[in-house]
Amino acid sequence: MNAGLLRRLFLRSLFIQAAWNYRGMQHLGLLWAQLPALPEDKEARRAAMARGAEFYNAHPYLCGYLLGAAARLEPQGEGESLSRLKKAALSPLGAVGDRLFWAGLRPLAGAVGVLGLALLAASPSASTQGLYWAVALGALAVLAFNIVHLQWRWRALRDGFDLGLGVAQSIRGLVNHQGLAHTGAALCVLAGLMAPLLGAGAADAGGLPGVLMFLLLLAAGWQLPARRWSLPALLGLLGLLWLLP
Amino acid sequence: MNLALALLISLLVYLDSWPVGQFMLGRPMFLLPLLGLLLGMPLVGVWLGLVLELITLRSLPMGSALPPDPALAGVWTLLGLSRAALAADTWTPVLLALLMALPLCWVAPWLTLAQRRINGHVWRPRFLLAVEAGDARACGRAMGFTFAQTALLGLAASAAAILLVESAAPLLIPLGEQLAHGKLGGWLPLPWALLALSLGGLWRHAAGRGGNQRLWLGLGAALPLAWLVWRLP
Repeated sequence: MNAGLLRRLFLRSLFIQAAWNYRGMQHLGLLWAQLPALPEDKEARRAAMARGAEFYNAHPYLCGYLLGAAARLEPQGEGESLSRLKKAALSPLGAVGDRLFWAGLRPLAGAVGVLGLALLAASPSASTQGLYWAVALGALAVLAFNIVHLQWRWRALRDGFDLGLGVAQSIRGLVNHQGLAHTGAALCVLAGLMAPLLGAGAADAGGLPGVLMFLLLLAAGWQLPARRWSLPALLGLLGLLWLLP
Repeated sequence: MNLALALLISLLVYLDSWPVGQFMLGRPMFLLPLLGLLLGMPLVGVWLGLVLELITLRSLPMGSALPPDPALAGVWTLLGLSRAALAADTWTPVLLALLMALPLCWVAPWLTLAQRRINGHVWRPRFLLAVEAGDARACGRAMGFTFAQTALLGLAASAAAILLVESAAPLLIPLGEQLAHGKLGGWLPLPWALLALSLGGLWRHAAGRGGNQRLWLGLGAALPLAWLVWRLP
């Protein structure tokens, strides 16, 4: 019975952001996801729904920890403890998830796909078969990303359901996850590998002036300030400069 | 391409981008070359995928932030260009595609912003009424309406964007040709310039607090490969 319930919760957890809004953020998604696990008694269900509709915003891939804990604790009448756990866990789940997935795994998967395309673009004799390989590498990167993230989602849900309030320990363990330390370095290596491939393509297209301009723009990109409009402004400037007759 | 099929593809990419799952199926480095291959525009697909992915790789959807959306922008552009049936798969359509896709990257998130505001003003009160009544079924219905309306807005915005690209593409061809044949374009074609700029930004982002130490780590990977590329015929 638990396996069936967990499967339903898991499928619903994929829609955690479907009703995202600026008042309660992911709260309606989390509420809807936990509906199958609510208590039968009408008053208890109403109170559980009210708790479910409290403010919630964390990393969407890690919502399983709290969803599983809710499915364990609400039928046991421990809703108030769940509410406290939720408030305490929001920041760590958001911060760790953002660093692990958005700033780590996602750019890493994207960079692997880009490396395949860079190899293709830099090759003067690129064929359709080369394109198939580049697309296959991209598909592999997306597949690897999904295997890791879906497995993580399922494990988070199971941990939450099995441990109840004890899931706080699992969440604490996330903060020291080893993966956080290595993704930046791996991304640097991938960026380093891309540079000569793209540089070779620039040399092929424009000779020595092309390579020099490529290196100049690479350095400009390194120095680009991390402000919201700096990148689009620079892209617009490049567009205008390249229009010069 | 048939407009209904184009809208279906756009809708799937939009739903995957934030309301459902976030499986990253719309990543430009994978989807755009594939779509380009299917639409008979492989060169445009490869370059659009490469440039859009590299430019937006360091833009992260953290918290409630709405970073540029390369997936939707790329798909709209590619589908619109395919419907415009431009002559050949040459360098000019590549520049034309970049010319349209890059601004769309920054415009597409407005769709998400609008939907999130609609969710707050229209659907959230319905959910809260259901919560007050302790009615789980009403809550489920509210989610169904929210999801259906999100999909409808995605379809309408996609139709508008694809038709806009389709009708603007023939008008912008001279601009694309100018970009291809301008003075600086003769030294370094614009797509390579965009790649260099965004690669520098990505490298800096990846170096993060590691700073110079990680710059050297990247150079340690770059220099042997550069030597190999230089030695190869």
